[in-house]
Amino acid sequence: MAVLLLAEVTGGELAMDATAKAVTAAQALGDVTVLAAGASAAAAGDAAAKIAGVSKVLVAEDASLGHRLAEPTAALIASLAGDYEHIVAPATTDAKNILPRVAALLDVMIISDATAVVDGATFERPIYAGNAIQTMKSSDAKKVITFRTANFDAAGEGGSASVETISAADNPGLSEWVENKVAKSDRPELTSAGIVVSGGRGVGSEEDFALIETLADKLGAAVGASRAAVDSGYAANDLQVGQTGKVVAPELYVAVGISGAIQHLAGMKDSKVIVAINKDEEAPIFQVADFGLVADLFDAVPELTQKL
Amino acid sequence: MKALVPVKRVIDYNVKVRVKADGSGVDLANVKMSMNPFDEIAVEEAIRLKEAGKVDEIVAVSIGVKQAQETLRTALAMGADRAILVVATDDVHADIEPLAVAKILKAIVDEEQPGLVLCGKQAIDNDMNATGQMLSALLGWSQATFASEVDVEGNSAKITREVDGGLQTISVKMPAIVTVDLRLNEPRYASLPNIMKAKKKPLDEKSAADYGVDVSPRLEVVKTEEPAQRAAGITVGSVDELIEKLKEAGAV
Amino acid sequence: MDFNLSEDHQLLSNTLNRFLGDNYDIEKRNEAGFTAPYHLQDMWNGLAELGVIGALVSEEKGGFGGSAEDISVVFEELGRSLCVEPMLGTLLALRVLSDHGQDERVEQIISGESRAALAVYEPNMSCDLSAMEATAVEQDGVWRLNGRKSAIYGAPGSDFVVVAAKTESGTGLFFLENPVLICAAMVDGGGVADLVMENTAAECLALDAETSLTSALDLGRIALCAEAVGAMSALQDLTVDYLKQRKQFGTTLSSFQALQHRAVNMQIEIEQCRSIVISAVGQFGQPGGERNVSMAKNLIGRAGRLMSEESIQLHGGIGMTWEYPGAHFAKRLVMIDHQLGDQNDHAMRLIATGAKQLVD
Repeated sequence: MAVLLLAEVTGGELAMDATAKAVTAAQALGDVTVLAAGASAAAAGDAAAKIAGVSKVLVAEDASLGHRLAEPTAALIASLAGDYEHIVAPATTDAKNILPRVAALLDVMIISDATAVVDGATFERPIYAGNAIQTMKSSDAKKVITFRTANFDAAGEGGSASVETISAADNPGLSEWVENKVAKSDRPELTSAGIVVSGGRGVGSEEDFALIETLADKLGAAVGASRAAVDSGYAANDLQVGQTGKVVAPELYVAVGISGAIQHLAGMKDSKVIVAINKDEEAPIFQVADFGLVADLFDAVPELTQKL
Repeated sequence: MKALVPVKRVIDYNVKVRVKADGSGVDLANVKMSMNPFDEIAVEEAIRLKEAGKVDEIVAVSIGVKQAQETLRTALAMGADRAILVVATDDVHADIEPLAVAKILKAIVDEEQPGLVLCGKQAIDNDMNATGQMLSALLGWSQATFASEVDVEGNSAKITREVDGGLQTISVKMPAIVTVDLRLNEPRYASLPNIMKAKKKPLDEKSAADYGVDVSPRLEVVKTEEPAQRAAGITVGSVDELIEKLKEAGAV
Repeated sequence: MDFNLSEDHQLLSNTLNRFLGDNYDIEKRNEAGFTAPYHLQDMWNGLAELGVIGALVSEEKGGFGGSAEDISVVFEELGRSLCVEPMLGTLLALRVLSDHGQDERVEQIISGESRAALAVYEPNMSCDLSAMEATAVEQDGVWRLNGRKSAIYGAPGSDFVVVAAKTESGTGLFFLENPVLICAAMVDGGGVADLVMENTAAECLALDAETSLTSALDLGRIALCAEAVGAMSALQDLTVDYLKQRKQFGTTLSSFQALQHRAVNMQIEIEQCRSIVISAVGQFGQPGGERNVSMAKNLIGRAGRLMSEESIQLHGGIGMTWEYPGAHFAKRLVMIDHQLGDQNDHAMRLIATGAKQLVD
């Protein structure tokens, strides 16, 4: 059984962590062929060929495949679909944009955000913001799946898959890229960081959010935020951790001034070690924390930053 | 231009979800139901486009059980002009899959010929995040998902999208499908005078068979479970103790 | 019989629930409720914009509702959010004003442009209007009022007060602009005022308005009962949540059967209260409907006290603290019993109307 895996390619570079995690999930389904598509994708294809467990890499380079536009990439994948039983990708915003479109072109259902592979047709996925886990069995001939990367370990390096260049499908020319506004940061990317420090409403202001950033920099961590903190304007939108934001599963997650709404827990409860700092000892975040510190964050966070 | 806004009736986002003891799904009997919050944002955006003179009619559509009529009334009370209810099941626990929904919506789009379809990026029950993209594929229209800004100008629209790592702006040809994200707008409340006006707005009732769409599911639910609980942790008394524990756990 | 809300009422209830839930947390409520003018002007404007004030008056009189059911839907939601906005005073004033052709003033109130309260009660008077001591006398073409009014709900910050006073023909209604009031917060928050009148000039709206007054007050009582049901169910939710969370002897409180029984008893009380409000709403305006109102007010007075005491008992010490929302719900429920006649007053009214029915 063959699997076609859409690699996460951004600006010509392979997002190694997300792709390697999806490879782990895909290996359980069969022989993995990785598709690296983009305006420039050769370097990404070469990088993907080195992931252990990848048997073949297809590189499609065409201007129409750049900038994450759904229509040309979906058309390309649909044209390749004949050879594969599974078409999969890491559950990034790009893949979530493209794969449902692919599924509809093939007249099959999509399985989004799968967290476990039971067998070739059966998968687990969270529903209701992670408040329930559903096991679903597909009756479609082809299965189109996005995998939630937080639930899979990254496949190692050491592979040496063959790389083949293919051409793009016809560009339907329905949409055009205008511009990107990428948040510039020297910190690690939120969804793949080993450590995440997040602030919530308890931080109290945009200025005081610097406390969170200082601690994160000391730990070499990514910065996250609860929806309450984002809604109050303390932190940027794309830092939001939770069901409607990013889902993370770092080695260490430090929640500061976050009460722990279900919405937020759904986005971080798969972290290996969770630390909660909150002055309200009744806060639900303590129910998922491995280490809870009931303290005023304005005392505890500077002290922690200094002593680490 | 006409705008079509599909809305879904889902469990109210404030209600705590309970998994049924037999594992067949989530208990929805006698639970407060509301419009999917993302769909509310889509309705609001359509109303704002109408207020800005870029849309002249808003048609709300819901596909599911008969009770979804209430969800459509909410859309009408917010400001939609008319509504179409497609009854596709009698079972409140049955979820019509995005593929079937997209097929019914395609048939409605063929009939109504809207210039824009605005939908929520995902429903908060099945969290599938697929209907807009699937409808777009079936129609061969342009798609812009996860919109945080919508700017319609004549034959094209500029859409700012929330993507991993920041924002992306694209320009799509009309007609287009736009799926909306959380921060696009703050939906208005349905005021009482508008609730009363909504009673007089037309609401057509149809069935899935009227559109010749088979709604039987492609995905069979094997079981539904509560998520695994994390083991209870410990409370530390000081920052020093916290650092010590983290070192023991090898986390720093 | 279908006891579910109609589609419109469901939508109205959702709108209010969302509006109050999004904009009215307990800290904001407590700060507003105990600081003059004991409510928040922007919340009041918001309620006006949503047409909620209009829900208190019928369509033919310029409103968007006005039935007893409309009013109970609105007040149940206000109770659930423990809203201190002066809706009760506004309801009472709006009803008597709309009964007496004051369309322009009604319109201003519904739009939120101005606000009014109704002065009926006096230090020596309860439900029985015949015990009223304030008087109105016409001198040289000007009506002059004398006497003292108390418990004028929602009066602080209002633009005018409608005053009930004895005339030669019965209980008249008078319109007083920019009244001089003695304002205070109620023990549970929200504004209330006293009014002392010494030859105070006022505009006469009606010479005998007893029927209109009684009907307005009965609607006010229905409103209070519905508010209590909303507050009770919110308090019950808080209590049950607490029982499920709080651990003693190594297990959650909710695992103790004795406490489960007490929580179930509270739920039964709420259902009784909900039922009696439905009956009072259904009978409002019918012959003998005032008896259903008094039965409801009496039962809710008793049940409200029981609910607040039980919830405090089940919570323990935290149930009494200012910081915990439950304490404020408990206070509100006790206070509701004392507004527009307490359980004893309404028991007396039931006896009196019952005796009258027997004689008739």
